[in-house]
Amino acid sequence: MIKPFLVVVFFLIFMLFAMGVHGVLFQYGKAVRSMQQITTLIHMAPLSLSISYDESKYNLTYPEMPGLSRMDFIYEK
Amino acid sequence: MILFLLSSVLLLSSSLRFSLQQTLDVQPDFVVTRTQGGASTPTPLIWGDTLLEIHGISKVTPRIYGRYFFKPKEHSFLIIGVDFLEEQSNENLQKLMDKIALKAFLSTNHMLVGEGVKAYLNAHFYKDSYQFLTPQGVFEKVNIFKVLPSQTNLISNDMMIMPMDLARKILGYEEEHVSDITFNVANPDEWNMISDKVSALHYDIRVVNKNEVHKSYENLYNYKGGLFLVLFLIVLSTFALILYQRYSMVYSTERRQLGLLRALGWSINDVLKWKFMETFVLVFISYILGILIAYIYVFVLGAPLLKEVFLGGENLQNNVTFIPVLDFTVLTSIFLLYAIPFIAAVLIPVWSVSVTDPKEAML
Amino acid sequence: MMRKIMIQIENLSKTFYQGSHVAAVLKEINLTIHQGECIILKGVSGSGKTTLLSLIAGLDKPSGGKVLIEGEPISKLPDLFASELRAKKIGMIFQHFNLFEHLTVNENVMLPLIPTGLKMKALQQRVDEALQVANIHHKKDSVASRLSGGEKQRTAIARALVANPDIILCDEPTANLDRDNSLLFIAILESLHRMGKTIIIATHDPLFDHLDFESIIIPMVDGEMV
Repeated sequence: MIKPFLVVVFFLIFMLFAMGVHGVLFQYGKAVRSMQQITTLIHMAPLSLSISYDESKYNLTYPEMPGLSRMDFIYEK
Repeated sequence: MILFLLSSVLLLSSSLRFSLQQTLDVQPDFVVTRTQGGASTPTPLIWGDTLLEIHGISKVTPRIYGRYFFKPKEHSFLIIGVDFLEEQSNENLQKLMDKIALKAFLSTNHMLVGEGVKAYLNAHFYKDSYQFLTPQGVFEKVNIFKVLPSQTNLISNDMMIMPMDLARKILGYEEEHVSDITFNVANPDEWNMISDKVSALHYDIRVVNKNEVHKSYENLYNYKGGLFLVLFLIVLSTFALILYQRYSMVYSTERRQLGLLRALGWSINDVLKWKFMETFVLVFISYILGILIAYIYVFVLGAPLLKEVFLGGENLQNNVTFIPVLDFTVLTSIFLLYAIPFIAAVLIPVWSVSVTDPKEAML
Repeated sequence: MMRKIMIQIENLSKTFYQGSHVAAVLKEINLTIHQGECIILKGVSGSGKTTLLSLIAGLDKPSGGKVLIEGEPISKLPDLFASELRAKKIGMIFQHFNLFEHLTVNENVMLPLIPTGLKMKALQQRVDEALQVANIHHKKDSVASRLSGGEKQRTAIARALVANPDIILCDEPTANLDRDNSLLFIAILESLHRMGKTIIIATHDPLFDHLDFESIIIPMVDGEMV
């Protein structure tokens, strides 16, 4: 009973170690820098949401703004 | 399984929020746009000059962008115009695209495209260039110069970056109009005052600061959001079921085993201690396993299927590499929310059996 | 030489209530058992011998009277003390062996010693000794579900002996064994008797009528000793 348990524990420790290595080796700096560089270039950070752009429902660049063809702002309190 | 699903959702949303948070510092503080009937309309370029006159405002930058629909497939791209003649933009471009030949890029109609755009155009036999149909009914051929780095896919996947004048032509903006205008205010304490001043400039002006934009994206990916709530409700219902099952001791084998241990000389405390240790080890191992599998699924495999829930899958396929982020407060919360009810669900029925006479338990 | 009184049973009774039906399984049992004695409770099913064993082991609470183990009233002790008494003084061999099927022989025999907090080495030594006495050492690493009836019985014996208890209780020990294994079991009992253990056996097996070692047969009928 103990042997299979120890196998599982060692496997988990190994996987945790591998996860740690992956995290350490991941190029955080490069990834963050690239994101910041493109944001600085285009002066915005629009999420590339792969959704159907039904213009009457969304105003994705400014989600807190109403959609372009909606009448809610008239009928809402 | 539930833990894996929950952890995947949380890891993914943490990563997205982290990525967006990193861009927040370099985004412009304010965006000004013209609205008509609640809808954004082209903003007069001259508003930029008016803004410059307000003390405290700096880095006034007009923006031109918009969606271009690729018919008949009804997919779309985000076209963004950049003034490459500006020194700052030049520098930024050089940093973003290693060793880009700027002169060649600016010599004719060229654009930088995201990976999703490149893949999509390739699939539709537009290998090196694309002919845009402008609102004036004229075709404008633009060559693909380079593909934007894959690390920026979260933002740039459906993007086409081109010189501002070219974008203006394709999107149909007139010379004196832009999509909106951005500016910075160095002193955060002055934000409210300047926001009020700018709002007072014109009746149809709308001012949005970057915190509001950020908040709206946060709400999309906040762990309090809809998906998390649904999953959490599923977890709660499952726990309730387990609790009911354990309490009614469906597993009569376990009931007999507990009675037997008592018969062999184990006290109630001994039984509870053993059961607690066993359950805790089980909970801990399953928790670690759930997190590990979720980590691999999200940050190594790129969260297929789940990614589409967060980023959508209708427009262009996005091979985004999520930045590995482990938010320990969230992970601790999951553990406590999972471990405590589970351990209680096990120990309460065990205690109930342990306090009965061993003979009765063994029946 | 006066031998120590191991078990004192005074006016012991047990009544079961099933709705309106009242079943008096044991009626005013009085018995004194000395150290080293071998008591055989003989009777058919329903005579109350298994219930008597359960009450002696403290597995059940009596409806009346008391059971004293070396002077301690086991049924009236708090759980902690009753469990300790059961662990140290009493070894029980059940009719259907009651092993943990998914555990090995070694693990099954180790179970009674786990709450004692002994170090692994000392624990294993005690287990090995018990396995040797029960003649099941060679099957130490076998999973209980793969053992034959006789091997399971010997594992149960080893488990009952591992804590070196003074009292061994056996409930229908040969009910699920063939004749050869039954005789093997009786041989082990004889060695335990020679070790000075106090043994109580509840059985209706005629093999126990003529044992080679000294034993007292107490017939039981309808919850009373004849």
